[in-house]
Amino acid sequence: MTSGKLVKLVLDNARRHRREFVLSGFGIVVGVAAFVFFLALSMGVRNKVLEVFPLERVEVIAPTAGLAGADLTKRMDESTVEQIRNQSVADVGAIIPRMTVDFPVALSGYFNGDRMALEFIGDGVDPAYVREDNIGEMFKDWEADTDTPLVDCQLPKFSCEGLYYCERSDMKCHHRVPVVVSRNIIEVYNKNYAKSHGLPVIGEMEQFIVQRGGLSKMRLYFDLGQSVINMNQKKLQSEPRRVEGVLLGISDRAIPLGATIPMGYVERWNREYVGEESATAYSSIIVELENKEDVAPFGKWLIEGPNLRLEDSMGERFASIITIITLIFIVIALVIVTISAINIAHSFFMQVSERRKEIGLLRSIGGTQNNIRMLFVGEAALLGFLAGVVGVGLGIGIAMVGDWAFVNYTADFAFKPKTLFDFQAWIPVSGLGVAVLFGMIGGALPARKAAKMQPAEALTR
Amino acid sequence: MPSQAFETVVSVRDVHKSYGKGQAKTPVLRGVSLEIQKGEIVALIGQSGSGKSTLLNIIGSLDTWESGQVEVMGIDFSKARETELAAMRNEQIGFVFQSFNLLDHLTCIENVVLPASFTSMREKDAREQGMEALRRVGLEELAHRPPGELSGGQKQRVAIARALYNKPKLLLCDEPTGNLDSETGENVIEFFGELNREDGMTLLIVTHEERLSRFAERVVHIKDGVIQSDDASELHDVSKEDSGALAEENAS
Repeated sequence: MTSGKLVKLVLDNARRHRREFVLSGFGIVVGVAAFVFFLALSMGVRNKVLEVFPLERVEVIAPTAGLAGADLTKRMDESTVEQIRNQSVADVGAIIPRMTVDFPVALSGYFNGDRMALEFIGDGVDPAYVREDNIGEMFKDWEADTDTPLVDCQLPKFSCEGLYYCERSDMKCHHRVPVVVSRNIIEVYNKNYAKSHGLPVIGEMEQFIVQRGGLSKMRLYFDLGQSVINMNQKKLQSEPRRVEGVLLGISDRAIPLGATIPMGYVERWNREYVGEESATAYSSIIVELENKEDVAPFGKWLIEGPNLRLEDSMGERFASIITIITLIFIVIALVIVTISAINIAHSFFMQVSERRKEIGLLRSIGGTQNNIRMLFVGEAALLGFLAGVVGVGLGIGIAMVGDWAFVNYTADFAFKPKTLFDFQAWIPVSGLGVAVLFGMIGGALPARKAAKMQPAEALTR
Repeated sequence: MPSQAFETVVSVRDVHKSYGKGQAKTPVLRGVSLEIQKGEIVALIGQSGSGKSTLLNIIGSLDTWESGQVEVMGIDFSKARETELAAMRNEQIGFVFQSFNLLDHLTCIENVVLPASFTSMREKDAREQGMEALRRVGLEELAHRPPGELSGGQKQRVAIARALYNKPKLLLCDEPTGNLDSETGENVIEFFGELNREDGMTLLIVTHEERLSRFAERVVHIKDGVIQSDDASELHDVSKEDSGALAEENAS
């Protein structure tokens, strides 16, 4: 029997048993709809999470340890960077040490006519790393250039040209400290802060800067040695002073929450206010791994080798939670289709009994046992396929309704995606595969019974 | 000499069969032997439960048996594979049933070409051949109607067209006129005669109707699973005598 003829016989029978088909295929429809819905949902959410927290960018930190008041936390410095670069368990791309400002700094600026001040949270990084991210030549340690003589501040207003400010300690014009922030900061500002404080939302950063009147208006003030929170502080080695900065824009390589400046400034400030110790130790080291799969072996090496560890990656944590939830829903979906397969088996057993004469006839005109088996399995597969198509359609439909409700009826929040779902091609395809497979599983035993039937006996009843 | 080898179309030797198991075991065939030559019309007559339908089904490879030998058109059933027997039923044997066994969800022509489902014949050729079979039974104008709209006689003719579809050498009929009125039944019987005369088709007809037995040239009576009488025994003896005489003549 050719497959074309089998398909024709199967289709003829399917047309005849439309009602049974709809009834026994219903479970497959629901199961497959749930299957594709939850898979696409988990893929969509997972992609968004990994976009915000990329898995392959890990942060190496020193575990904090203390004994009888003595700080035994391991120091990370240039030798640690070398160690990481020379290890062989993972292919490593960029290694970016970070240095945190080790003493209180208040950051303030004028925005929309108001002065806003907050505690500076920020890291210094190698400027070359940020410059790779199209931030431009301005992100650098301007103070490192000691060859170009500094211009005196212009009296009587102590003013300087362009992006320079008048440093009162030496009455010279210094370049403002370049600052970049992550997209996350803008997102959090837009979705949470701007809304609650009635401030304008920042759209494209470049446009925003132009609207405000160019970079010279993107002024920030660092009050070194002063705190907004005003806690009891340890004694600093220097008196508070003000340094001016300029917000250059957004960089994907800026720390997620906080401001990022060239490391040279942090080194000098820490040396000035805390001491040499603080000016040479890194707070964390960002390591960009070439493969996501290397995260685990690299983390293991860190513990066994240099006695360091990986900061828990938000991406990894979210991704594993999503995976677990997805698995639960997939199991539920599979339970539904399994029950449906049993239902199909039941319905097909009844059909085999009802169609005894037909089976006998087909055998009498030349049908083999295998032909009969294929006929019933084919019908079950067709049932599964049709139910699968409807199920996939239903799943996509529910997802679309869900997206619409999500976009229109939930509050705007940071990183709110435009869609919760990611229907990659393999999802509907595997949905269909599951439908056909479980249809065939349901049809297998009845088909066997039909094939084993003695034709003479089938014909006489 | 293959043509001579096929002279004997059906050869059944000492076949036993029973239904049920253990205590409830009831024998249906108790040592049945039957030979049918090419071109014969054989009526197998017996009351219900005599084993006549079982014998027909065994000859048609639709049923199993316990002991004895069955050989149809040179194929030894005990040695043949399932696919081989299926191919034989498809190409060389036609079945006609009392209850027609037409599939109501198909049209007449679709019913007739059903045997082509198990071959690699092209759809178009299959249809043509099916129309030819319908023409043969005089129902080509009803080709696209469902069997449900047809009379009993018409249904049986569609079923016969299906049996004739692959131009079989052997037609096995189980009470073919059982569901028909006497006039329609008569027509079917006449048609069987025509098939025998024109196509040299061998027919084995299971029936309990004397009418059919009058038409057959050879009548075999079966009772309680045993063959009671067979016209052919005499015939065969005659032919033996004849050939014997012929041999003597040749020798002399």
